[in-house]
Amino acid sequence: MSSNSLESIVGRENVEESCVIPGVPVAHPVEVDQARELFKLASSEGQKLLLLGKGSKLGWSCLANRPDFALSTSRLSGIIEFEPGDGTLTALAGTSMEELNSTTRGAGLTITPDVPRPETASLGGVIATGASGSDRLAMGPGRLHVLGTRVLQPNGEVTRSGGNLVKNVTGYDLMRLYGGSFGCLALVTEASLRLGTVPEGTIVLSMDFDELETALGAAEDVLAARVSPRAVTLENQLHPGQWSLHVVLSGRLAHIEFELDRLAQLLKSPRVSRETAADELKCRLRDLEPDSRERAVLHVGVQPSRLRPTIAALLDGLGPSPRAEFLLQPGIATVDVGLEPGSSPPGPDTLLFLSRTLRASGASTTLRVDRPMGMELAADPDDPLRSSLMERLRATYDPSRLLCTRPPLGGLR
Amino acid sequence: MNPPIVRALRAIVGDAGLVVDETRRIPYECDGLAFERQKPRLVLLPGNTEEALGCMRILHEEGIPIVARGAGTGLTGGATPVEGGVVVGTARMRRVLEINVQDRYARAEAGLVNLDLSRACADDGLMYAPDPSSQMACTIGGNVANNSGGPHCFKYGNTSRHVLGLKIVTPEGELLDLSRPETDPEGLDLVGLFVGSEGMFGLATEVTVRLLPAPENVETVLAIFPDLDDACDAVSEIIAERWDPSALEILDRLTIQAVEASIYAAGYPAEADAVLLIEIEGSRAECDANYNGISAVLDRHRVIEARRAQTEQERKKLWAGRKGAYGAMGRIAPDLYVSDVVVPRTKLRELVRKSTEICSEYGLKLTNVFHAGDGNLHPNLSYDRRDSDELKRVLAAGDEIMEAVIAAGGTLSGEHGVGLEKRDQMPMYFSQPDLDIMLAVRAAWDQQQRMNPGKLLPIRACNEHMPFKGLNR
Repeated sequence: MSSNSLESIVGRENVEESCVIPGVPVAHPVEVDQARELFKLASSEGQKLLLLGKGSKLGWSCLANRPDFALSTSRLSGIIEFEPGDGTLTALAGTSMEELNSTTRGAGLTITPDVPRPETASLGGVIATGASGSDRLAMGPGRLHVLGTRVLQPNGEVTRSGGNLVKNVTGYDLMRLYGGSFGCLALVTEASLRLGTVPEGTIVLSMDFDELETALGAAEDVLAARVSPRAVTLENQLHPGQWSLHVVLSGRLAHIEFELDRLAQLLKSPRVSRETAADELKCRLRDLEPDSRERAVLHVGVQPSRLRPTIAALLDGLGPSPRAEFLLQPGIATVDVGLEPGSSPPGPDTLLFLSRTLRASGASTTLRVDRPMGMELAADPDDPLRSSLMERLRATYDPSRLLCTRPPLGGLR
Repeated sequence: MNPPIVRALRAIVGDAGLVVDETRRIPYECDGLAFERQKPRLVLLPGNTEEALGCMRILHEEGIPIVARGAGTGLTGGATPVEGGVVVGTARMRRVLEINVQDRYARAEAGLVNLDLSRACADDGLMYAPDPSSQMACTIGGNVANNSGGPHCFKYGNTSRHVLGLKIVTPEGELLDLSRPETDPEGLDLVGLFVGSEGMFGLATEVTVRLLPAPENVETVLAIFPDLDDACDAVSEIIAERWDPSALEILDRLTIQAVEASIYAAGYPAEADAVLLIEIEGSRAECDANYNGISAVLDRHRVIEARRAQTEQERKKLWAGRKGAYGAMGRIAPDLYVSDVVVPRTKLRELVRKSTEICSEYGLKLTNVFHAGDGNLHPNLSYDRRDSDELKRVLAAGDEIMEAVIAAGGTLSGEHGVGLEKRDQMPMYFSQPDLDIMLAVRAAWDQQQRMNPGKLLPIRACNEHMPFKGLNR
């Protein structure tokens, strides 16, 4: 694809020579009509199109084909409607999560998901990748907070599903289909979100442990207690034998003090951070999720009862003393393993073996790297009927296979 | 129906699972939308997923349209049979299959009654949050089809937020097993898409749902208002001030009177113009903080009295009045048209007033009992369906209310679904391309469009989207 064709649609200033994939130019439309023209261009010339937001999670997806050019929503940004009294917000897809946060925070409202490094993440990208954040234990997965979407379909139609109301069952919930679809169906151009409440206060309790086993036991005790933490996080930052447990309490002041008292009877002399120190620590914990642009990340999700055997299988599979950071969130039963930059990541065969081993024990495993992966690294499809239905849905939106990203699942090609 | 087909179906479900007799098919002619009726050719009640698979395969081979049915408590005609079609009910699939306390989920057959699920996990300190007013009768499968809500969905969200997995029998009679709960969906979120699809994608036979820890303390406050406007404004301000009740329910004067004259009498004061039921949950400190904050809001809106239920018995009685309100309205007229619309929560008073004006113009009896915290209004129109003129006025008033709601930025349904009732109003809310992609997605699940044909998606022309007869109203 020549840059000239793209420049004729979005202007020279909105075309980059190359994205994360060398030789693939990126067009940044500033309005939806330009995006539609780019879709038309790709369609008329039989080109393959890569959709992205700010690109921070591009390496979470797989590529079915090499793209001829990329379309980024990063300049398709801005708040369309913010209704504090109704607790809802609608914004264009390229709006950064940081901008959304700063807009709502002043009105005492918050955005879910509270994603790491929000300045590098766009609303559309977060939806397309199905990302959740550090508030998942308290607020649930990010996808459940999307009230409605507008998408640009490969045929050039802009269609809407859901709306901007906190309760709405009119029509099919197509926005659930777009969440986590990795841009294989359509381009999310705008979305409406349900907002939460900025807590009156935050307290973070922290403890260090020599053994993972003991740290995990303490986390399990916290989760079994009658408290409702915002996050329970276990981190190990490349220091073998050094695990830190952090319990974030957020809410009304009287309530979190009450919960602190309850946890103080359970945990042995935790460090307690309050006010500014707690807010800073909460932000650091939010950003602990390893950045796949800097290191290869293995992301594992499992039911809580299978967390311990999954961790054991993971450690076994990675071999002795892996050069890796571990981030465990026992409350939501996820593990992120960030391989140390510069170290050789395990090869595809090892990762596939590990992924299959973990899946056999009931875990879902995906690899996240710095750029879209080949389909050979996608997870195995576990059910042909499920895969064929996904494929029919994909073909419904994109019959001519214009869009080349796919979710990290092998069955959907 | 062709006798060999009936014999083949009987061989799968047995006599208990087959309703052939004309008289016994009468109850299946409609759901809660009583003025839309159609007798099914046959009613099948499979006893498990295997039987459902067998039935669906035969119906597929014969090209027979299918309407899935839970308890038939839906209010939009979603379970109204289609001419020449068969009803497949889940009434014999009522088992709780698993309660997993550690991972906090339950697996149940689709015909399980909603309330029975919460009862089944109560001893483990867990609960299933969605609580439609009909929860004593409605089924989990029906809740999935309609993405049902209820008073506590203000805090916990509709059914969609609680469904982790499904076993689905496809229109072709194959098993799509999505029942394993996953942290995040692998690939496309088929479960999320299926919830709220109103029985048009397939037949859910098994549902995996998230269970939540039962709250440590639950308090119910009855706030009594001299004026419905004040109650609406108080709710808008509670939300704007970001207090955290788990339910905010308003009942107006006529509803209060109907409830108090019924077996559901809850002690609501008959002289009040409106009562607001407020539920608060959490630790003692949390409850107290919320109660104090909310009380201050109520005071600013001329509350006559705000009374905390003193005993669990009193609390349950207050809720029995709310949940029994629809039954109590039988005292006003033999039939009830329950509208279900959502408005921005900042416009509650405006739209409640507008509904009252519209019904007044049509000379209809309007009662309001609604999920105020979500902006989910239920203008209820009492009528007698034997009076054809009154029925016409009810439908016309319902349409006008919907138009006013859409004009104010609202939507057609908050929890009942679209079904037949609002099918033809869908273009008020969605553009034709919006509806076209829904139709295409539906075709990806059900290429022959045999599952619940003629519902939700409007029919634009007599030869379009309607492979089966009798779908136009």
